[in-house]
Amino acid sequence: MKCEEVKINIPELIDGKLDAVTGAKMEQHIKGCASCREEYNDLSSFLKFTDSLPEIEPPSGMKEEFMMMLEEQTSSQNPRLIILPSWTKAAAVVVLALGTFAAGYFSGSGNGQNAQLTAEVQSLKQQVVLAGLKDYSGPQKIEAVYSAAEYSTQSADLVDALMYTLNSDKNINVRLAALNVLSGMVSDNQQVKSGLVQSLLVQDNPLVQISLIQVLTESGVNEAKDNIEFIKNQAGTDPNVKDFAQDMMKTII
Amino acid sequence: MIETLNDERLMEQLASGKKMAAGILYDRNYKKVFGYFVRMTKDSDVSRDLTQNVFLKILKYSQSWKPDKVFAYWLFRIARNELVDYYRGTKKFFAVEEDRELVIKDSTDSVKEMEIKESYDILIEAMGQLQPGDRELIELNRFQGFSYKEIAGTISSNENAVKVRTFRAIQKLKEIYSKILIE
Ligand SMILES: [Zn+2]
Repeated sequence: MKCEEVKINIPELIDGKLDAVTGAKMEQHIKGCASCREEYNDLSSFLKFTDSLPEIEPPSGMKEEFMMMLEEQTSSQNPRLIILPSWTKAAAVVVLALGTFAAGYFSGSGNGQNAQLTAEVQSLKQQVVLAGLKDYSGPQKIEAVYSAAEYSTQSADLVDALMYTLNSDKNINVRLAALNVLSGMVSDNQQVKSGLVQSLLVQDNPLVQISLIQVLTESGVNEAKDNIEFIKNQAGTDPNVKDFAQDMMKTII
Repeated sequence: MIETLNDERLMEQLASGKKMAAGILYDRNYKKVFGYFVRMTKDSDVSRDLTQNVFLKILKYSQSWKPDKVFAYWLFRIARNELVDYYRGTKKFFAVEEDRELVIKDSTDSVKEMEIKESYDILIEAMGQLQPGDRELIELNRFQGFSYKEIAGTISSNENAVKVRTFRAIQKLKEIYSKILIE
């Protein structure tokens, strides 16, 4: 090995990044060459010094500033217009009419045919409600979420739609409404239970996080423990959420 | 179910619209990026703005994130472009004005600590006197811990050239540092 080549490799030797064979060759050369030995000693102490340069502390408030920009960006980027597709309105009217009709008919007499009709109506209502969860936004969506609870049986589709709303709706009130409905099902529905536990990892709004922690801990869902712990220890979590998580953790051990 | 999310996984989450990921990515990386800009520009205010821009760009480009990328390099390519744009805009390659306040922890309650702080100040001054290209190599290799190969990928050069140039840059820095010490 030539001196020039040895010298250029010295930083990597110091950092321990050379393979064993090259490293051994380098050490061999440095032992026998005064010039390279001097370079090695110089660089060792200098790089040790540069590597010890402390991290520069950023000005305070940078993170908060960024989070605010983030908030503005995401809220202005996707202005979700509250425009109902005309077919959903029509469908809603149909449901309303059928519902009234069925109720009146059902109270008059009771036979198998009526039961079947009621079931059909029920299923149609549910379809419209599920469509509503997909297509509405804002206040209409909140309404849709609550009618979902009122009209639908706890089908897997419904739970999916509500869960999707909880995890991805842009509007916090809509998410909270979905959580509110789901919280009524948590005690006897395993799909809801595990979905809510998962949702802990997705939520970024402190209010939703707190509500979610509250629902899970008050319903005694022990499986939530790890995820609550995760939120609690996550650097970006709001201090209020951290404190709340800390307190609620104690109740579900 | 719990797995520690590395930066690459967080980018995937961000790409799929989970905004929370941006906050975590910011938290984990903003000091590094800020330090990079401060060492390159010697201007804390400018560095603050550039840092915010970098993370807004990450947000903007998150849709184009590919899982085979390494977040740290991607981040520095964006940071580097941001710096280049800044230089283009200001036509200023160096912060010539002397000693804008650099925030190095100021707990100087003993002579020894004073001396250490002074030597760091001199090191930063020496960094400022390097050619921008050399300064960048030292920044990426020593302060951000990138290998020569990784740097080559970031600045579109080849590994061996980066290795030689980094070595020269370290030597220059050492010379300038010693010169300031003697003055
Ligand atoms: Zn030699």
